[in-house]
Amino acid sequence: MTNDAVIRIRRIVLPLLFIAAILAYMEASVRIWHVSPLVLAAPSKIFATLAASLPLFLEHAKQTAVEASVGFVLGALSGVVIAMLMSMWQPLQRALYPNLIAFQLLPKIALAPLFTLWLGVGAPSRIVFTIFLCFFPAMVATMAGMSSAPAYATTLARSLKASRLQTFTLVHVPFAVPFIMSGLKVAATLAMIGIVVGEFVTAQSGLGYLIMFASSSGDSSILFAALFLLCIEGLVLYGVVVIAEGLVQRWYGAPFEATATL
Amino acid sequence: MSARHLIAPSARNLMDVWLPPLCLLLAVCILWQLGMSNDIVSGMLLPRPTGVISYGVDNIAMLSAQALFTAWQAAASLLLAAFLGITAGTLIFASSIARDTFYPIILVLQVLPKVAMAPLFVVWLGTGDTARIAFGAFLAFFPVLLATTTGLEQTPQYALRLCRSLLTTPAQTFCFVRVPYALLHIFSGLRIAATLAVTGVVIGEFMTASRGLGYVIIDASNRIDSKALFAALMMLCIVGLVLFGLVVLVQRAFKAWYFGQSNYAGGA
Repeated sequence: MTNDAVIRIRRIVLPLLFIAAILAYMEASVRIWHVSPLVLAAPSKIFATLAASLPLFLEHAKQTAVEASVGFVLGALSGVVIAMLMSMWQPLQRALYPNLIAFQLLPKIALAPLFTLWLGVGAPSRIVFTIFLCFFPAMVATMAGMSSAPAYATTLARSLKASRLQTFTLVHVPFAVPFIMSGLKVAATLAMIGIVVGEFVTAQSGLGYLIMFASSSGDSSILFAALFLLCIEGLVLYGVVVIAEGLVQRWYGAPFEATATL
Repeated sequence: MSARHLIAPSARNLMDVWLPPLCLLLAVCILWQLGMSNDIVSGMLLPRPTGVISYGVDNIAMLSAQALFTAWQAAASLLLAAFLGITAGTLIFASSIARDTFYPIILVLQVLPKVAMAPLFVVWLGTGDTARIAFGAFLAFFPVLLATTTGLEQTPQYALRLCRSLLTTPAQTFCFVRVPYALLHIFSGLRIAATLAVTGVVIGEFMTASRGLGYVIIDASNRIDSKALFAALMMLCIVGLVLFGLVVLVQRAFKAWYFGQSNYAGGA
């Protein structure tokens, strides 16, 4: 076996081994060292709980997934659109952008109760809070992307007498795509966080509610099962964005390296 | 609109950079105040700007005591996260086994909604300060770790080749070449961590505390007291900005100490 192959196998095996070790440790703590089920649940118990009341879990999971997706789509869309408007119209950018950037430094998640105050305890307040969270990474990434077109491309557009609109759609937007996609990846993560924090604060259902409920009910297997489902949802939403990124790149003929990192 | 404008202040730059956003902010506040005065929006939902300010002035002692409580916990979790993150980041950089084991896991964790684990910290560590500080540190730990590893890896090849031709020891290469190049990354990780530390502590306070700004916010929200809510949020913004500013100051001090007056790599 070549050295490369060993390294490649190691990169897959070692993380899995580590996760297996943690699961084994959890199992052993409960079974052998008798750690209270309040604090830790054996993985076997977690999956038994999950399997036993799967329809119930899925019902909560569905609510969280739907709300997170709606919030993500609307938040990302508004972020991209507003950033494009700002990059097209300088006065707007100069007045608005610094104010929006200032928000980046604040613990925005702490604003969750404000949305409850305004929109009540239902789904709208959680979704609007998620839109608010998703807006910023999408907006900042798009702003960075719109100014990333290299000078030779804009010069070429000018010498070919491209109209403003043509320069925008044919030069600036394609160069911005890798940036936008990496902003959307951050937004996908924040969408899950937004919905869950919203559910912590207000909800009567959803995975966040289940987690809160379980943490005070004395049965940590429900808590871990809900966390597990939440992680899967987060990974799926992130995966969808990654797949979309691949599709968009293929559509544009992938002329641009995705070098944007945020 | 580059950093150059912000660094070299002149009357013209002041007009260009600071005036438009401040005008917009002022306009929003004036419209807000006027809208409230004409009862377009209920005062229960949105207080007048003047109302928030007068509430803040009246309750400044209470608010600053709560802010201090939140601030020291956030600072403690930031320090903890900085220490653990830099240590773990260096270890992951130094040992290929540690990197192969933990790097994929950490990258996946970056994508997961870690905030959802807050109740777990309460279950494990109780409802006291420890749980909140640990949770803040947990959130802030990952960006520091990733920034440290990335920063240490990104030493330019020419610098490493120079080290080799000068026959420096690995320790010398690490201290005098890799760390200086990594500083910029590490401090940008710490700036992200500062915001996350405050976030973690406040979410902890939402759930368990009977003190602190998070508690004041939740309490005000339950009592539909929008003035108190806004005043507490303002205080929280100040706490967040102060912590962020402290990281920037430490970065400056560190840079001056590490590089003296010379002006090469790692500057920000």
